[in-house]
Amino acid sequence: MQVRIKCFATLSDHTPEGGVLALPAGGTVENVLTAIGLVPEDVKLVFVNSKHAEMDAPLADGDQLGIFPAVGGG
Amino acid sequence: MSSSFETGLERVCGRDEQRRVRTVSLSELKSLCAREGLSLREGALRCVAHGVEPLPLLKCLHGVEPQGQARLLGASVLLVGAGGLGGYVLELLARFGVGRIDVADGDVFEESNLNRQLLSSVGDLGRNKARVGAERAARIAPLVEVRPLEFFLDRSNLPRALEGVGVVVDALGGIAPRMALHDAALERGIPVVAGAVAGWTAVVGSETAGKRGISLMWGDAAAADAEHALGSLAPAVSLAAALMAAEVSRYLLHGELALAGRMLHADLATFSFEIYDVE
Repeated sequence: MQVRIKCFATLSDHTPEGGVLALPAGGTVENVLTAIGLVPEDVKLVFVNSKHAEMDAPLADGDQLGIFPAVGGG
Repeated sequence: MSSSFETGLERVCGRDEQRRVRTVSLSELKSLCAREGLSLREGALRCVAHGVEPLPLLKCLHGVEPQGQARLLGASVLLVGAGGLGGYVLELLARFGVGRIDVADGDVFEESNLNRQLLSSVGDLGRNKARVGAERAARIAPLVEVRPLEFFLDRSNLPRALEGVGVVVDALGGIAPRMALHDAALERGIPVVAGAVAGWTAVVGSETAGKRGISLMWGDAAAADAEHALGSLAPAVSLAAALMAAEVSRYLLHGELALAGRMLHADLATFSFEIYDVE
């Protein structure tokens, strides 16, 4: 299956080429992070199809992920 | 209501024919208030209730109806932080006629603020940010009352600062101090409107006691803050502040929050905007 990925702020360099990642069926958010070279500690919030998701959330073909570090500047 | 204030107002008020509304100038309002022993905010409220628009708020009219203007003038906001976000939020809420704004910041201006902080200037380096903010508000928006709290808020002094407050604005810089503010406000049933930036990234969200949201971003006080790597850029700061001010105004006018339990993310590097459910 394929998922679409956007990494933001300090993580933007981890957005895969074309924003698309191929993943074995049954893959989770954490599997995606590993595949793009991130560990959960690098990441503060992950959204799947615009809804907050936990690391063990299972993904489906065509899901869209938004991945954020902690942003706290004021 | 009939009193010498309203009688005096009838005598001095003018009329804006284009907008079909009676108006009163700032100088006439000042004289009336001085004579009656009223604050300018109290006087402005009496004017609005009497169908006379104070000229400094004339261009708010129709975008905001008189009942809404009265709600704004009667409202009380606690603005925490008078740096990048807070300076712009203060400017917008004060010019919009939000009647009472307590602005809290224990910090002083330094040169590295000049790239983005509206209230910072070479002449005010070393001065307290909340005090400078209150001074500016008095110059630009004399109908509203801005009180500087020249110290940092923490668990010990938050209860007092939150007394009588209708909505809290989290315009803090950094991650560590935010959660205590959100917890203290929400425990008292006071909603919080918050924002943060890093480089070209801006995030804004709101929380109520029943709908936590954006503070999930700040659950770990020791987390690395992306702002340290990407800096803090004026366009992202002012955009976030404008969104925060609009959200606060929406709450004060209509009792609704567009971003409760949600996070609006603007990436000005790619001009992408999206709203996420954080709950």
